[in-house]
Amino acid sequence: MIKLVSGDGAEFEVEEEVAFQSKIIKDIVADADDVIPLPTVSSKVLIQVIEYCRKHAAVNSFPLSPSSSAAAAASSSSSISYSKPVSDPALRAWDNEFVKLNNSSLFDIVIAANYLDIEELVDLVLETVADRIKGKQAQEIRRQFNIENDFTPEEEEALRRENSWAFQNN
Amino acid sequence: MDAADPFSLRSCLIAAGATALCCLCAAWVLRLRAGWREKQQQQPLCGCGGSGGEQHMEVGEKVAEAEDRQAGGSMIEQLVPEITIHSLSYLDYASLCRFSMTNSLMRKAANDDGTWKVLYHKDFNIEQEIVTPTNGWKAYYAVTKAIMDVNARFYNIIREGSLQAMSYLWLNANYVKCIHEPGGVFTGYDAVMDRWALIFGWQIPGDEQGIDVQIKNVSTRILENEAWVTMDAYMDGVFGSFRVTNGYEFHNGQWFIVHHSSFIIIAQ
Repeated sequence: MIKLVSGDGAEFEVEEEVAFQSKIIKDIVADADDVIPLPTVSSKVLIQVIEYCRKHAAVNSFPLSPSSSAAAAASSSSSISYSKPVSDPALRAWDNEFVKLNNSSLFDIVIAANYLDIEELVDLVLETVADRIKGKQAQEIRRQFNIENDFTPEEEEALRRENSWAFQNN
Repeated sequence: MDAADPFSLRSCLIAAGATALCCLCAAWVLRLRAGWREKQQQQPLCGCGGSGGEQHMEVGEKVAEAEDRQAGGSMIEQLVPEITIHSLSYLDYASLCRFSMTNSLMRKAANDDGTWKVLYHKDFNIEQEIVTPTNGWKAYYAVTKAIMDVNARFYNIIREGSLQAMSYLWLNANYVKCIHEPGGVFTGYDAVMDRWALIFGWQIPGDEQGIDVQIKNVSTRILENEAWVTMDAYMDGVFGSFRVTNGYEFHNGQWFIVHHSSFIIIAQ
């Protein structure tokens, strides 16, 4: 067992294969302690990250049955495309449920996942964020992500001209 | 994306670890573990999505937006640029352009040259690895899209058999050229228009379908005010398949076709 300690001092005991979803923790454990303080990760975020790692460690330790890998191959042309495909449909469904969080929670998770070097989790969260940007007008994106408009009206007009090519129909 | 540097992380951990461990107390742990169990009960983790799940998601998103405004959680501005850029690599060109119009920091991320280069190679041809566009990849993407659009319009006009539309697409100049092999060489605007009138006239009367043509292996070469497009055109019926080169020139804010040569490769 490996003990992870969040920035606010909470301890979490997890199995090695769960903790080793993080490449950084794997490296640290190789030549150091089994108690790993993670000062920049809050317990709230660490709970979510462990939940993800626990699920993925469990699924990754069982090889896909021939029927489920055939199903994965059949659904590989679907609109969801991970940079490194999560091929198990059940795991993909679980991932889709996992990311049903508000934007600031997603950003907290991706900062932690990036720090812990959990590549699949980084990809999952960032693709989710991208899906929430797709097809939306600038004003709508600002509202959803709390982005402050710091352009002058003149700059906005210049930006509209600069990007008008992208919004013309053939 | 580069991972956090394990060396600096490790030295940071050693320092912070001592402090963190001192602060630990049993009450904290118990409270948080209880919280963990609570959370697991609140959030069913099965893949029971479906349409009901999506409706829930919409409500969830609205609640999430309100929470985002109040909570002190991370905002998109706080992400390191590499993470933001990684996220934006999942966007299409139009979404990327809209995102670039939100604020100055996001504009910088959304106009990242590397992102546009990847998008260019994904959406267009990959033959130009060594090209370094003078105005950056976003501008090069934009002009390439304009050329691809005008080239697609050329074939839409052939499909529709519209001589009027074809007359607007060609530059009205005496040096424009249309080479059809077999067929001949037609030089000058009037001769080229007569040629298209003849081709469109070959269609069977009453056939509303026009000429069915598919283009493949399209690649472009674009200089400041001129562009070359090469492709293969597959036509149904009496025409066969052709290797095509189209030349375009930019005049008064618009791309016009100035050269079309089409050589038969497979006769029907």
